[in-house]
Amino acid sequence: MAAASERINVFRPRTLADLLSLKRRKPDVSLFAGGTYILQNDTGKYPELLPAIASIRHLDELKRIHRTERYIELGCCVSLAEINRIGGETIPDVLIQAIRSIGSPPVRSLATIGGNICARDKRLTLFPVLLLLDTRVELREHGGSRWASLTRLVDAEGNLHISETEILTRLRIPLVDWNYQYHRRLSAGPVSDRWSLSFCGIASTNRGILTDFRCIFGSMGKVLLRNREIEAELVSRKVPLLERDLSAIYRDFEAYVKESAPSMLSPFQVGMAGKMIRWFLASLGA
Amino acid sequence: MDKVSKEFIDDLTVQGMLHCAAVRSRIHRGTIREIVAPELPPNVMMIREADLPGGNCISMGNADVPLLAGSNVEHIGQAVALLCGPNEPEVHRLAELVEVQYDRGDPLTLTRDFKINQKLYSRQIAIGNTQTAFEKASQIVEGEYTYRPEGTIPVGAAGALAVVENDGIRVATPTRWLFHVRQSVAAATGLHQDRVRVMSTRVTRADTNCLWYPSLTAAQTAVAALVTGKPVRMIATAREKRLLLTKRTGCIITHKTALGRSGEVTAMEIQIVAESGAFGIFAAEYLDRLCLAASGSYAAKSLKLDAVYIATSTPPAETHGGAGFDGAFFSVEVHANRLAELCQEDPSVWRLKNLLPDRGLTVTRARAGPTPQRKLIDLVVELSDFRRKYSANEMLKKRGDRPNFIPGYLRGIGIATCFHGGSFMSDNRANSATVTVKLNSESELSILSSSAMVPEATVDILSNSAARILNIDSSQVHIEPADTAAVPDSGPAIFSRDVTVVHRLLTSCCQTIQKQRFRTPLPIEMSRNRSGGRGRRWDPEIFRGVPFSPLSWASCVVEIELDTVTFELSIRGVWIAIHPGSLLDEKRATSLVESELHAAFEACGGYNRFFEPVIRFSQRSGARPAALEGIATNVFAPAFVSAVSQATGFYFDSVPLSKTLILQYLET
Amino acid sequence: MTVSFLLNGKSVSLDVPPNKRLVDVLREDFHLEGARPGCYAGECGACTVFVNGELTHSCLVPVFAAQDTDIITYEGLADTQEMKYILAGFDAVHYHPCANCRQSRLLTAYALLTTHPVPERREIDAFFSGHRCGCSSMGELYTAIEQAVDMRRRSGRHGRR
Repeated sequence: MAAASERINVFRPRTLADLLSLKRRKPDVSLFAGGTYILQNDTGKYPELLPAIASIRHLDELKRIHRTERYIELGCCVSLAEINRIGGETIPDVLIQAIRSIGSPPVRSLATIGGNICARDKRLTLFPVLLLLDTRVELREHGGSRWASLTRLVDAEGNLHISETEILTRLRIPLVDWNYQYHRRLSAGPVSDRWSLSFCGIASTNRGILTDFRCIFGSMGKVLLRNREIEAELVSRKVPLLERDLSAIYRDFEAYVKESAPSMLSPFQVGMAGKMIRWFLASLGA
Repeated sequence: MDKVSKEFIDDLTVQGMLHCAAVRSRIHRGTIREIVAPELPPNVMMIREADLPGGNCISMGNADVPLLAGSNVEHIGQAVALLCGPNEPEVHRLAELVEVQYDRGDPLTLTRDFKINQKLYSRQIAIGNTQTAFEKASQIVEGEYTYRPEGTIPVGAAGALAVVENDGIRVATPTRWLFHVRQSVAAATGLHQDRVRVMSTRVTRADTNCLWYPSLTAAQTAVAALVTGKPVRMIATAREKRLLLTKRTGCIITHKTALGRSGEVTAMEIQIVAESGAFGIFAAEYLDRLCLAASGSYAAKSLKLDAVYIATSTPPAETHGGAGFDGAFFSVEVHANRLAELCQEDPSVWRLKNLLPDRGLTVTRARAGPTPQRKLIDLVVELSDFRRKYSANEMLKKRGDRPNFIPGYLRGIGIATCFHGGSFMSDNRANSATVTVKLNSESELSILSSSAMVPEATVDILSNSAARILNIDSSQVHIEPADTAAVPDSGPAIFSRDVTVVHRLLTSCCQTIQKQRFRTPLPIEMSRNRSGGRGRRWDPEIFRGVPFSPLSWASCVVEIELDTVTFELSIRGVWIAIHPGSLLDEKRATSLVESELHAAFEACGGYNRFFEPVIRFSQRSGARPAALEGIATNVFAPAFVSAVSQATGFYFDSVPLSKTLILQYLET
Repeated sequence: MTVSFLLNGKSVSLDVPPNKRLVDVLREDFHLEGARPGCYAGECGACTVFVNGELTHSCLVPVFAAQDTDIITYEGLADTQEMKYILAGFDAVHYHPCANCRQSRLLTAYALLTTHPVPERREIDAFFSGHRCGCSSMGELYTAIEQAVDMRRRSGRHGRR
């Protein structure tokens, strides 16, 4: 429920500990990092904000970047511009490709990776990409913390489940040498859950054999399409795939799309999803 | 509030000013049952139709536009009531809380099966016997073309500020038609026009919609100031700008063409259904422009044209440079490309065969004067290597067996040509203009004109021209701010009237002063006016004579690339050749054309604006400057859509051209 | 609420509704007119300013989020030598964007030339992708930027990649 200007209460914790303590005392406080998603969708002179807000962008503890040989950790308030600057040498290239498809540089300087994941009503551009990369997230609350796979944060309907007292503080993205990394955001009109589609595909090969294959589709709504059975079936196949294999896989995929969310997807999304997967499969080893 | 011409309306404030927010209709069409307001603070006042002190309408382009919806809502976003109060965010918040209860009606839309009550104007033209021509035709080709371009993001400030004074009312607003605002405010407040003073705040090239909206908003604001007795400012919110200021005119045009044995056009039957939103502002004008452009480019012996202008339940459209012409040329030129393909001819060659002869008459006997279209076509064909690319693409298309999930590009190239006019065809009041200049004893020149001088570079163009004639430095030329108390009525600043009309009157004044200045003591004041109807040789009833003088012409080639996987369209090249009569400033003309091409690409559904067009002007010495504003829009869309048709092998016939549509065709 | 930040190098503080947009605060409370409110959706680019050194659409920043930040507007850079080269480059080729977006384009050019002393066209495209006012052409912009680079090089400052 939005509040008039005079009823908006803004909290500005000085440290992460302060923030966690605030969240324990006032679980209804909503976190505000970049705010791009909220403000882009409210073009009123005075945007409608929730009555209790915690401004967290300034917290250094949430802006840290840490890299090891096996993974990179990004604080939830690291901006998309910052990740883009670090670039595809350090960060999985598919994530960089996805970030570059979002807004313009001045928008990316505000938008944060945590904000992109935590939008309540929609799974925005980076969510499917991070899901595919086996990203784990740190969830902290006063007196405790846990790491969870991003997969576990969403249910089958695409709803996000983070408890009211928890805060997503860090993301840990495994660093794997993917031979094929591809992200594309398509839109047939205004960016919306009916007219937009993002595709993310990653794969690894070794001596002409597919050792890992993953792909996912996202809309600007809650729909996420990923079929692990099809992915598993492809592993250990020779690439390039034979035409008859391509057709068989595509038929499976088509059946999966029809079965899983036909009413939630527009003909544009279904059509483009088919094209993207056929193209990605055909490009492996080619 | 004395010098506002350099200020934006949203920066303008006066002591004790109230803010005004409109309660807007959330439905497209219906009857208002009741307006239920929340409990309003004592310092907030709501103004409804019954509270209006004058008439509840302003008149624009033969249409009556209500200040507030009375019992009926005609379009989404229409103002139903006004809220005035001292706190801007609060009045906007309260306006959102006002509940309007309606009996909903079916929205009126642009369709060939329109309802009878949508019809505003119609025009029928019949020349020769089309029936016989169709009976004798070697080929008959039919096509239906839909043109509903997308508007651009409104960037500039919109709104008005009104202050009640002892002897009348003073209003500031960014407008392209200063004296129309005065007329509207007078009508709304019941004051005599002499008691209404209007000043224009800064208008920029980004402010495309500065005709109907400023007049309506100024009238609403003035009424609010009169009712409350306090200065009132109403500024359009970003939401309001998106809702009300992005609408463009649209049309559905059906062409049926009879072709002779060698592919020549022998007869045309054209049906037009067009709209510009609710009320039909300038509907008659748009309809005439549509009819002229739809029937005028190609030589045919007989014509049957049936055109209807209808009202729809969308906000009124902006009056942009191409108004009427863009939709008509879209249909004519896409259809021409189709005719050429069916005749198995290169479309540039087909055009050269079928265009009106030089100095020829259109089928309705409209006189086009010297017709440089052939020269322009030859120029763009050569610059773009059109013929080679066109044939190569045709070859590839015929071979086209590549599955569309294999990455790559499909290429297509399209061509279009058009003429363009820089004045109103049928609205004599809008055509009239007066310009006054004063040269003082210090040899400083003041130009007095109500014109908004858009784009901003127009100021330099006019100043430089005046300075050149009078042999003074351009720094000695001052353009007086647009203020009805100080400048004469120069008409609306659209259709390039600043350079075609205001510039002509200005140079005439300056030339006369130059002849007199060494014989007559300074200061000298000189006025020139142009009467809208005087000396015009155009008969709108029978569609004969000289519709515009002078005309401008353009030909354009667009080459596109379609990503076979993502269906993303990108521009490989745009070549445009324009005959603008003569140019006052080639650099600025180039800039105008280039930015119009980018906007036209967006209007067609494209996004990546970064392409560099090749722009050539073919001038004629001694010619008068003709209209440039809108000409690039007229030719880009048909050339672009034809290029996509060639790339994909499917005939596309609508704008905007969405990926969904391309997918729908390619996947079937 | 009271919000404090650095504005063009000076520490400022004001009492303001927390959800007022930074662009409106700059114009209405500090009378800095370089940034203009346009679309309020981060699309048109007319409100561009620097926030903590990053080019930012100030319409997307509610003022409470500006607390303790370092904000630089066009006015804060207008007198710098770098901006003078850019202005001279714009003027030399008669590149005149409309009054709505002129100063935010100058600021974007400043950010571009600070990070890319001799920018390529794709870099110019990327930086200016946040400007969607249709008032001027890209062709003119390319030439204006090239001119600014040239002027700076001739004066002996920077100019190498």
